[in-house]
Amino acid sequence: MNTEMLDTLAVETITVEDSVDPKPVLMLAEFETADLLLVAAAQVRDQGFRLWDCHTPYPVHGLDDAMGIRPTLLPWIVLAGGALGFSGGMLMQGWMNAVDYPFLVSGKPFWSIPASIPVGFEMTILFSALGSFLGMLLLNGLPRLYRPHFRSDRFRRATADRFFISIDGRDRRFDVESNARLLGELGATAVEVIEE
Amino acid sequence: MKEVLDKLSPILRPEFTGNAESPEIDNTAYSPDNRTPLLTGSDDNTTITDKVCRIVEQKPTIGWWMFFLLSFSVLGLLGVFVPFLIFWGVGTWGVNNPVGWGYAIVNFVFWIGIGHAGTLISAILFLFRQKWRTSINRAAEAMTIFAVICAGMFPGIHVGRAWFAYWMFPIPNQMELWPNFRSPLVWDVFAVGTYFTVSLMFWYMGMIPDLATLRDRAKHSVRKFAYGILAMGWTGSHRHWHVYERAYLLLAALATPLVLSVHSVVSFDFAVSQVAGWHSTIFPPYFVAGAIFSGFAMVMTLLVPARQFFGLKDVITLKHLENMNKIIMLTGMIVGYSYAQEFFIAWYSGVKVEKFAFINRAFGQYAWAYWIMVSCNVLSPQIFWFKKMRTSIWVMFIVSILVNIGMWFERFVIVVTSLANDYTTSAWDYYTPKLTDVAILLGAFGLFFTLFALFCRFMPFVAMSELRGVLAAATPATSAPSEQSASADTSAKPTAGS
Amino acid sequence: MKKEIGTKPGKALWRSLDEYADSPEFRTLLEKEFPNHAPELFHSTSRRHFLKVMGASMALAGGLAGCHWPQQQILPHTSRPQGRAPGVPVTYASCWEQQEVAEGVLVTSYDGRPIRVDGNGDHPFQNGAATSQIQASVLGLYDPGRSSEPSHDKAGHRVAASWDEAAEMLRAAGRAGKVAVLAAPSSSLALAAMRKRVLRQVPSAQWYEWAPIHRDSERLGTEQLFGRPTRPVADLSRARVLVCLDADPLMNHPASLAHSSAWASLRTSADDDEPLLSRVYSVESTLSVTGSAADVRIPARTADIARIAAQLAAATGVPLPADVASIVAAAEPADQQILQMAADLKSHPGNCLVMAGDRQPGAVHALAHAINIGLGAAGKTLRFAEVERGERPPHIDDLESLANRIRSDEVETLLFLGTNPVYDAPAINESWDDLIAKVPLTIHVGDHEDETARACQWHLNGTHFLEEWGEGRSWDGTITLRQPLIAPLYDGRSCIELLSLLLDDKPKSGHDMVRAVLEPWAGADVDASWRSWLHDGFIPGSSNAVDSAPEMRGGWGAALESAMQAPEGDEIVFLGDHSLFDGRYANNGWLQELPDPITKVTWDNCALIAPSRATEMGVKTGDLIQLSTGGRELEMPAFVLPCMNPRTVAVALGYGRLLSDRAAGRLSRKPSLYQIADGVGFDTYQLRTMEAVRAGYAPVSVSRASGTYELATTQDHNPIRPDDFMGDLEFNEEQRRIGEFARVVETGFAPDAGDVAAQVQEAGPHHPALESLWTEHEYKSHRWAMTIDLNLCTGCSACMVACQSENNIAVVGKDEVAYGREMHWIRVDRYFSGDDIDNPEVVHQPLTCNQCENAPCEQVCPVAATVHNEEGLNDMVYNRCIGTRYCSNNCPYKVRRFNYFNNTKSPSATEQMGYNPAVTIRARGVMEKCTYCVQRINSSKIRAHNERREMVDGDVLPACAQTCPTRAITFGDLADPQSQVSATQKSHRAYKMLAELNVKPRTSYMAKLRNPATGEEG
Repeated sequence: MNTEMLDTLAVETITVEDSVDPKPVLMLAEFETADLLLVAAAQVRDQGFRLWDCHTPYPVHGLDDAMGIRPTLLPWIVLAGGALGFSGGMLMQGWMNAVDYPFLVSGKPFWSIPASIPVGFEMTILFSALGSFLGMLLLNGLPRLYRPHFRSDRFRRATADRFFISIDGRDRRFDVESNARLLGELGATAVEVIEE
Repeated sequence: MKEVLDKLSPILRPEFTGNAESPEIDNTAYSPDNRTPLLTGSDDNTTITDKVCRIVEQKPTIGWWMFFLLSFSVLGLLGVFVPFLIFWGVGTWGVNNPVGWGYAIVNFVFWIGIGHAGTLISAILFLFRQKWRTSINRAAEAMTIFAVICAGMFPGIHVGRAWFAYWMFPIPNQMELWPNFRSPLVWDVFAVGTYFTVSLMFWYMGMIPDLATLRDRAKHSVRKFAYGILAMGWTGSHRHWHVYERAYLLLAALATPLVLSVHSVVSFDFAVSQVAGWHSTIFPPYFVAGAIFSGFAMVMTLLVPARQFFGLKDVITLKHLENMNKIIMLTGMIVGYSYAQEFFIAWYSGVKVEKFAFINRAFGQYAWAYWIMVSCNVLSPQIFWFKKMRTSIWVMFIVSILVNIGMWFERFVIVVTSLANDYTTSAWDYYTPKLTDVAILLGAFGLFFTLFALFCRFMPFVAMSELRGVLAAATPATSAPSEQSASADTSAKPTAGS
Repeated sequence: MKKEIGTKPGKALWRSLDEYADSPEFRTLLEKEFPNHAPELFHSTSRRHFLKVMGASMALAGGLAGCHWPQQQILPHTSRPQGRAPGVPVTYASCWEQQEVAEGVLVTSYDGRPIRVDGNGDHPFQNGAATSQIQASVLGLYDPGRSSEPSHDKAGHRVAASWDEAAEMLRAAGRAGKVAVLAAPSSSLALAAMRKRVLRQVPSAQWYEWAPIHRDSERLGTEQLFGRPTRPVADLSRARVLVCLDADPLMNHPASLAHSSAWASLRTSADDDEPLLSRVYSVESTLSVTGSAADVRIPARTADIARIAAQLAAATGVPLPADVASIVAAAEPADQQILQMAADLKSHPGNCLVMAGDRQPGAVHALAHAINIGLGAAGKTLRFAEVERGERPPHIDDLESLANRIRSDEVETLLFLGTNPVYDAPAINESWDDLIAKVPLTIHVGDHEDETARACQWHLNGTHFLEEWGEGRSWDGTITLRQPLIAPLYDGRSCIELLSLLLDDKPKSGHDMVRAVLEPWAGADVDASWRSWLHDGFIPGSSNAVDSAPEMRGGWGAALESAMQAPEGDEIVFLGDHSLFDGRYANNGWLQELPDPITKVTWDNCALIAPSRATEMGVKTGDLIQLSTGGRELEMPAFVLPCMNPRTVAVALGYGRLLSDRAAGRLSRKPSLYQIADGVGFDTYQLRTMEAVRAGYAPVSVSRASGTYELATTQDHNPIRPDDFMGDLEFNEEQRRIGEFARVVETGFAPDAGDVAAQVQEAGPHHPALESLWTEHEYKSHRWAMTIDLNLCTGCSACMVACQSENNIAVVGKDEVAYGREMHWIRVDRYFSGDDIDNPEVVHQPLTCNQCENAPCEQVCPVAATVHNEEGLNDMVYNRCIGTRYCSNNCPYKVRRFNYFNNTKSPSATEQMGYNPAVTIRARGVMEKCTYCVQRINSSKIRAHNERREMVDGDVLPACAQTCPTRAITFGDLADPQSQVSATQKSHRAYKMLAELNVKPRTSYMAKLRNPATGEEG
């Protein structure tokens, strides 16, 4: 039954026209539903693939476990940003108003903590927010405008209503034949190989 | 009124453009045993995506063109009067010696307040796992950005020498002098600056997946290119989703105290001074509540027509609107309480000038402004005690507009009446705005609505990716995979096969 | 001041100038400068050349560097004459005249440009103070609206003429005879001499004099009483009881400066070891400055005051001439207040004084002085001086006989010497336009091409007093000299020089004429005395005031009786304006924008009516009302003024000028226009008939007209309306917290210090102990501070003009003032308090930057544009200010001023000459405020440093303190425990305004003491 299934499954190959001896760089498998994807992902993970990924139109819950993704270190980046912001903010005010160019205002001390709190606070927020946004881009390697995925028309629905598993050609377990079979068995409605 | 609308409806309502009118369904009934759905209608990922993307992809409707051109022409007022103001000086405003701050600061505080709803909805409701936010947060955040842009304009042009306004930033200038960090105006620079940056990041980050959707649906190469750039090569990779979600959560966690701090800092402009009627410890919470209040009202004013135009009634449902009305009523009452509290404290303090400041507010030369404020902000929302009113489109639209007016007058009352009659009675005077004041007030609205029209036209109006998540949650999801991942045997295959 | 002049290198200047001009070194210098012109400079003696020489010599001697004579600026410094230090202000003595009375002044000149006029402290009859009008006169010098050349009608057109033509015309007229001169009365001896010559030389010449505001009734009264006109010279420093019958000795009086300082001495004496406070009664129809400072005010119609005077005389029981005594006895019995007044007068024999105002008929003056002499005032509070031309008839009669003479075609040439009858004289059967048209040749001399100038065929531009030689007698008769500070900007001629053109083939120079007429007073060495006179500015011992009163005589009972027969009904009285006087200063921006001391109205005059009258008529401030008297009608805005007598309407003269040729009507009030006087206010002279001039008041019918009119006031923008709520708040003392700001303590003649101190503290708000959350900054060097004594402030507002002139403060115009954007750094707040809205108490409170140590303005400035310096001054850094106006909002005193527009945009060349170069001109969009005259502080520091000495108390004197007639403002260094300001701030009357905010103001106030008649003491 699996073999029949495999026969029915068309493995379609997309190649760059002007490339001398094109090599497969990416295999895409399309799934109808998130549930199928979850199952498939778990299998792919257990097969010991490393350079592979799931593509979903929205964050599918449970997929972290299914793919075995380790927690990100983003929070530490944010913490660092916050610390930098706060200390930077306080030091800036102290240096500017009390050291570099002190002026006597309303008979008050040149520098005092209460008056410095608001700016210090805002700087904290600003830098930690920058940390989390830029950190996200950094960790995700964004922006990266070209990816092999975009060669597949089918893949366009990955941001709308379809679910994909992609396996990178550089994965040591990458093999068009067997991988396609595996994904087919897992219920992929279509499998594509992208060559460059 | 009614028949006029009927006549207009073919123009205003964009059915004929293929954007089918979706039915109004009352999903506001609440009973513990059956949760009414957040989204009425039978949308799935595909249809939702179509619905939202079509707003951007279809040809702009006549209604949109009318709205856009009207806003744009009003925006023209700014183009005329701001240069005029800068050329002749702030004397072209109505400000005078006791009343050094007029419309400019009133508008500044007003717009900053408006700017609080978006981030609040996105951040705080997100932290509280309020799923219903997903339908409205995108528009609300956009509104926040535009409101803050309007607000940011005013401190710049209200100073006597606008070309030196940059001296408020901590950059070394020719006099090697730094800003005075004791001044609440400098705190404003940091608070508003931070708020704008963070809101912008928050908004943009939330849009990345939807921009990717638009990119992937785009037919025209220019759109493809533009959205491609904006989407930064997003593939919906789950490894990305993983970091993305964490980043979003952290941003929300940061934006929440930020929202509360920004209007607190703005309120320091007044609270830190010693003008009777300004110098009040209740200001920070009072201002924050007021900001949420006015912000939600503005969201209402924008969304009620928008959901009609863009046929999103089953995405932005009555339930959403009702929830917002509830918040409007609550914050409205907090604001009302603050008004009362001010009077109590003034009386309780026994300070003559304080007492006079408030008697004068309510019965003095500016009593008219005060009572407009009270009736709009405190009385009008009370109508939401009745569910029928709470769920009536027209009522909520009108109330939202009243609240906007009321909140503008609140700032007017605070800024102007306190200054016009303060300590030294010989200096008392009356503030009357001039043409420039009014023109710039209107112009700011022009700017705001122009930007919003462009947003509706070119950006994903609703957070599609989040909606998909909501849909997924609504449809019972299997709990199988985690088990399977736990036990990695092949018994899963049949399930997969079936 | 004296010290300064003494040590000024420019002293050489006092030497006679033409003598200097003849000195060989000057010749050589001049020939170096003007090789071609030098010779004829000396051979010609025409006045113009004299002036050139004079200008040159002054320039070389340390006077005017090229203000108006550019060549001067290229003087090589290698040959800089001794005594010329560029950039160092030099002070010269001169005199200013108004109402036939000369005031000695000191003029500060900066590189030849006069920039300030102050009082002459060395003058025997003055204390160095100056009125607002005296100080503003320097702006009049640079008034771009002045007429700049002779002009005359040629073929129906007005064309410019040369002075040679003018001189030709004058000489011809002089020979032809039948010349009538209508001159402004003056105490100048030189002018009197010229008058005599005119009458002697010119065949059938006539000399008339006219001044719209004059003291003829005083001359009349003293003539009735003493047989010859006499000038009563009051010494208020001994008048423990002062009764003013419609008199305003502290403001609208030629001797107001002397009066003010003398009056003040009896208010400060309340702080002495044996405290003593004077009591001032004021019986008047309209609230005058004196009335606002009085202890007891009795509102009464001007018409009724004769009766009150009679009652007072009866109550005091002084000896009177028989016929008068009978009339007085016939007067109805006096009421309680009058009896109290009489009792106080009697209980202070010799230390009391009764003064009658110039609106009162002669008989009242006579009666007043009869009372004074009866109470032994003569020689104590009252001395008697000679008046100029005692024989001359009252002005109004003069005017009438001139008119008749014109009608009978006995006038060939009519010469107006500084008079402007077309504007300010009552019509005599026909208007002065018509009368002038009847005369074949009419010539007008004046510094503006005014209404009369346009009616005349010739206009000759006169000189400003800072441009001419002259002299005059001060109120006590002291001869006071006038010397030019600058060559005439427009080559004008002074009156005496002009008459010399008329009389002499070889016109004499003003300098020669003045010197000639004063020689009789000179000692053996004429030059020496002339030099010292010029230096001092007056001739010592030339006063002609005597202690003993002339013999009293009767014969004026009938006059008194008729004066007492006042018709019932409403009356209108005409006041000399506190700023514009009779209108001669209408083109002076400083005075136009100076708020009236009483109404605080700028750029307008209005009809003052009592609140009760206003409610009765349903009129509020700004509503137009119609006044009709003597067949004339005028619509004017009403101003509801407490303290007014309900049956009196008062209007100020001097407005509604038309200086430019443009069509009449309301023209722009923007100060940038040259003729700023045009169309400002209402020409109330229209209502002033001959009868009104004679009687001092006129019956009037008042009715509500339709429409309202915007009045630009600097205070009380919400007018006082008892009927509506906000008006109530406005007037409500409790709400306005007046008692806390301007504290008033009621005492008797001998206030008890401890009691006063207690009450002063009691008047303040109750607040917890004031302490800061932080350790406050301690000031190690000078600690400048100011004390303002409310007990001495009369509200005369001289300080405001002093500040404006010292600090180059911009004039913004009526519209901006109406918007509340006036720029005055110091303002005088006028508060009414008390329950009786028709007769409340009045307090004046000068308010300027208090230089708080914990200045609230500073912490809110985002760019640190206002910070403290080490001497505790609250500095304003103009070029750092970006104009957020936050500091102004946070200033509890609201004394900061913002440049909403570019207020000093492109001033004309002449206007620029008037600026004080020591003070920056502020740009648009910048905040400004009082600096305690920091430029004066620094220059005195530098001076002290150069003289290798420590600064001493009195080195620094801000403009306001320097000019205050009552010395209400003391300034100095708190670090010096001996300084006057340290003492005053420790006074038992001292308190700090709004101290409860813990802003630690450096300025203190001293509470006002009021000594009302309680009826307890005898």
